[in-house]
Amino acid sequence: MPTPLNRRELVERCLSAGALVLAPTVSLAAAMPLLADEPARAVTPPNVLGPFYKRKAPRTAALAPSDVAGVPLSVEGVVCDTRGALLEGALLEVWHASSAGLYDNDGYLYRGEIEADAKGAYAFRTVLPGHYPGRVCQHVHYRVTAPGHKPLVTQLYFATDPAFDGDPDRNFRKDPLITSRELVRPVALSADGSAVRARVRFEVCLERA
Amino acid sequence: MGRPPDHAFRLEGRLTAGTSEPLGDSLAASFDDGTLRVYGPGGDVRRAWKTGGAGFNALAFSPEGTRLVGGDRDGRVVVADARTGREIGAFRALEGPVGSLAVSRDASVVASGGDLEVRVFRMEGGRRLFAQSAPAAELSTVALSPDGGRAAVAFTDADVRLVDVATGRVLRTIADLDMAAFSLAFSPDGLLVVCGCADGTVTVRSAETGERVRADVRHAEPVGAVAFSPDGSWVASVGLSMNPATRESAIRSTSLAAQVASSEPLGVLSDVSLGFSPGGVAHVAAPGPGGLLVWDVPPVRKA
Repeated sequence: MPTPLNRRELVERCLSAGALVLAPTVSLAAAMPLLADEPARAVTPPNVLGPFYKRKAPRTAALAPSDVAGVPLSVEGVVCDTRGALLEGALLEVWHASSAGLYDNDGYLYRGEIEADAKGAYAFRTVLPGHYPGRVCQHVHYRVTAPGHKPLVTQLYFATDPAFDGDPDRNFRKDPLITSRELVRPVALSADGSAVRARVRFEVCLERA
Repeated sequence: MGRPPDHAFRLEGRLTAGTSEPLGDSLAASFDDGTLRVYGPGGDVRRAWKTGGAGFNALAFSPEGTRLVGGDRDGRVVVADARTGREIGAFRALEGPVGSLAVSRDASVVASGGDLEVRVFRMEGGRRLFAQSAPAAELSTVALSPDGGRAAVAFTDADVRLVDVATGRVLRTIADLDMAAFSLAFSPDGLLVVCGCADGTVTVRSAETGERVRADVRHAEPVGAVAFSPDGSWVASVGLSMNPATRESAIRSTSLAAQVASSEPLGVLSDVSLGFSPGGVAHVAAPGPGGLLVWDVPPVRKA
């Protein structure tokens, strides 16, 4: 019995047999992932949910009031799938500890739900989370859902975290829960008078269900 | 400041795990030199034996105190006669560390929880009955009904699953909690299950339908331990101090039938175990400076 062809092999055979013709301006390398339904992007690495997930967080992009203690932090990015399609309406639940390393379990400070816009973009404002006993690194938890896609639970980490000693490439495993360097994102710091602000971009890529 | 403990005693070695007898007055503690000691509430060492290894990660008594089960960091579960220390059985339950344990009243079933899943075994021979995990959450805690017929399994996604132990079938999911249950306990008759949650909620549910059977009670802090009194008429719960600067642990005793409740601060505690003496006095045990601290908390009576 012949071995079944995978999608890439089938497309290659169709191309070589002339059953499928590419437009002159389209290269084979560019067309192949699309024709063969191959992922153009890798799924964002998952990370643990942790014990302090809370349902029913408010729908808000302002996770903390402007006068709360801590370094102001803006996070932005897009939600897409492995083919690069931007996922309008994807729901991001995000939560983290205060700058003092405490979760608000009574209420919803530092917790929010954000819906990705028509371009799959999302953004929220908060403060840099603090460290706390039992966890090595500062982090923001994400739970991302979109119809037709597998839910993703992950965490965002910060390359400026003192725990990395200035070298996240080498030291990201100091936190045993960080399973991928990809989750440690660069932080753009800017000074606004005497105040420092942090800005981070974190793309989220979901797998189709 | 919380009420001073009724008993405080020194521990001989570094504690790796501790537990209270659910319906008795003993405390068991495991130490990193492999010693296991069973104490009376006043700190007297009733029994001690060597278990080997570097001590257990988790300990649990069977409800009537006949068995003591330990789980180690390599996933091994050891069952011992709690009165003699004689090892009755040992088996590998998990690939990683055992984080939580529960034992049925007749000591026939043991549940062992790791980071991600719970596995439930027949004590005799260590035959696995079922395993449960959640797709994108970790295991929080597990409890067994007294007859070993049902398990309550809590995950960090805030679901609590009520599972038929014989088949592994999920009978009901309690899906209306806002945060994960950190502690679970069945009533002595097995009809109710109490969930102590990360947001401080203590909620008593039907073990059959998952429905709320009385108004929830709130702590200001995550609930680290819950227990039913031996006659099933009271629930005791202990909140943990997540923010030692501003909040103390407290024990609440809540009557299921009468409108009677009490709340008492106990100081700053980050880890507790809770049991009831046969006479209905709750015992809260917690590691503290220099040793183990124990509070005796009788239920309040209606004036």
